Amino acid sequence: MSSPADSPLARQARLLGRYLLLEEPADSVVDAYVEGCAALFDEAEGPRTDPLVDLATRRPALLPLLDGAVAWRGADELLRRKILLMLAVAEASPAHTAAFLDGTQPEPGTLRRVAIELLAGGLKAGLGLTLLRAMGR
Amino acid sequence: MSALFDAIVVGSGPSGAWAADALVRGGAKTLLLDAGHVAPPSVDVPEEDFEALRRRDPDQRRYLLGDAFECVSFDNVRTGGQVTAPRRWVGALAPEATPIRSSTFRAMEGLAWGGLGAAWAAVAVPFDDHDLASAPLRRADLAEDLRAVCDRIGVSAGQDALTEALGDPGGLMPPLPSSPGTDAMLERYRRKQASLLGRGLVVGRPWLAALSEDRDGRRKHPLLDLDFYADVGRSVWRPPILLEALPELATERGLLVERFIQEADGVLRVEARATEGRRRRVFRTRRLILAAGALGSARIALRSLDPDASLPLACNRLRYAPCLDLRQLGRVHRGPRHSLSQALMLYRPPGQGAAVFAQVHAYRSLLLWKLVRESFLAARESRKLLLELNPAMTVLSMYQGHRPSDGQRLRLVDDVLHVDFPADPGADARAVANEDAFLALVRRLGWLPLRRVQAEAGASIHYAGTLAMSVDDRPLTTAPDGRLRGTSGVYVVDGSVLPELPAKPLTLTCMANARRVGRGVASGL
Ligand SMILES: Cc1cc2nc3c(=O)[nH]c(=O)nc-3n(C[C@H](O)[C@H](O)[C@H](O)COP(=O)(O)OP(=O)(O)OC[C@H]3O[C@@H](n4cnc5c(N)ncnc54)[C@H](O)[C@@H]3O)c2cc1C
Repeated sequence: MSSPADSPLARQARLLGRYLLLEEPADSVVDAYVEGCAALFDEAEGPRTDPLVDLATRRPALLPLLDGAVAWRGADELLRRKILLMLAVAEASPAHTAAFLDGTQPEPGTLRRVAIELLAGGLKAGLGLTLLRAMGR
Repeated sequence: MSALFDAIVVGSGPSGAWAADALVRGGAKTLLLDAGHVAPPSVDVPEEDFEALRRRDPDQRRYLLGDAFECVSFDNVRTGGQVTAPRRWVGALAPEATPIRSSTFRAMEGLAWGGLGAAWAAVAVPFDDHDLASAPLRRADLAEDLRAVCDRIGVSAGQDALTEALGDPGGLMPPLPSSPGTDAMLERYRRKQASLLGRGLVVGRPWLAALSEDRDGRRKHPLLDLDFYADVGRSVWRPPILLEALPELATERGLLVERFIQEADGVLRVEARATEGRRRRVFRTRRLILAAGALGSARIALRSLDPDASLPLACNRLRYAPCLDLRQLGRVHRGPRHSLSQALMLYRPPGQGAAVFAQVHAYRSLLLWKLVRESFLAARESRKLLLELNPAMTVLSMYQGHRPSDGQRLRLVDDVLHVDFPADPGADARAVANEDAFLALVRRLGWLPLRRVQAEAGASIHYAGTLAMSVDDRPLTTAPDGRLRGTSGVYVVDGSVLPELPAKPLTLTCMANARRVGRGVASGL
């Protein structure tokens, strides 16, 4: 049996954490994610089978597109819920809080940054939805 | 035989607390009965600035998300969705102990010491004559009690157009500081006040039962931004504060009152069961005051008087509108703050009463992931985007009035409360039109509504209308003095007595009315 630190859910946590936070998630956050999956998704015995979660795990390069697509479709997809859980446990950890609190100094270029994120988000949603359609979903 | 009380009050929420206060002060030998669930010995939230706490406390997950992740929900429009982990205990007992069945309405009851007031957000505004039009009650009838209640609980408010519109009951404290974004909006309102007032929009500092000055052993609000999680210095008023100051009041907790029976000698027999175990208790009293909340009091009245009857149910409509203030983009807002309402807005179309009442909340004190949840864009981009937008965002909680339609009723089926709450298309259309007109005026303040989110029926947690006050002598209604018709000594003091709900939160008015009725009962003993 795999050790908890190397369990499929812990690997899932690291994958999602790296993608969302742009850094390796703290061990405590990985543990919290695993606990959260058990409490919220009935995954005490390990991850459920879910085509989108499985695809994201097998091909992490597709995760940005899948993230865009499931965000557009709403909170019913397990992948969306897992992404939100990862954000929640990271935000509730001092190791990553800074990524969720705004800065101490005004930074110029807010509008430019907002436009870039909007564009990137829109693009991902478009490509992601095309991908889902190609998968017949 | 059990002792005979002058009065028994059922319920320790804001209404029950004020009725008990009036009775005890009026010299009545009074017993307060309550389910009385109290907070479990869980994690204590350290009394520190919220942001500093978030940067350092390794235990924060317990109060931010809950031990069982109960505050990680993927849907924010559910009833009680706004209640944070340290306050969830307030609603914990009710689903099992007093279940409610409905496919169209989700209610929250608080079988807690302090009732739902143990979790309330402290917005305390009085009803005016327009708001009370459906009841045989005028603001003047409540004036003395409103003043006394405001004085004791400590209501902070501004000296502005809103206070003028709401009518100063006296005894108000200076307002708490608002967020810089709200200050900027208030300044814009002041500049356009004449024209916006002419169109019916009144905006001002919030009326909050939260102290801006020390009072009676309670501390002025510490501005640590912990309001969603802890009651630092008891600056926000909650019912136990009043009850603890009544040493003559007898209390019994852990009991659910089931019914009353009127005995031949004018004495009322009150039957209760323990919330845990099977123990049953009987109490005797000359007067019984029902303050179990509009749903709880309805349950007791139906069981006692007519289990086959049905009763109307009123509940404010609630919708949310996140708004963006482009002029606040890129600003940095730091410093002491609170997470209660930052401002209040009242939309009164000319010649009419309140059509929309909005509470303004800054997003800053909420967790960012909850905002990401509302976004249509990929979570990675949304986090960065919302971090940029956060200082410029506010959320309006928009309440609208409600008059129960014929079908919106509750009844007992096998002793369990069932709520029928079919949609009312005509009223819904009027509500949307009101909201459109209101948000058009909000835009003129520089706030851009981004979307509208419909909360499910019941989510406002403002319930009323079940035992409506009326001058007509109909069964299961209350007389203007609060007496429940068909009884000689049972009085109702909670939201049940309001036949309709105006577009305003009801609790301050309920407290004042409870005190009024309590005084009347005490003087008649
Ligand atoms: C998160 C939240 C925020 C809110 N914010 C605001 C706000 O800002 N402004 C506002 O005006 N309102 C607000 N409200 C609503 C407000 O809390 C209620 O209107 C208010 O508490 C009603 O007071 P009450 O005493 O009539 O009833 P409750 O507070 O419901 O109290 C009822 C009491 O009766 C007891 N009880 C019930 N049934 C029985 C029984 N059979 N036997 C014995 N005891 C019984 C309960 O234990 C409880 O103590 C909020 C509510 C919540 C949950």
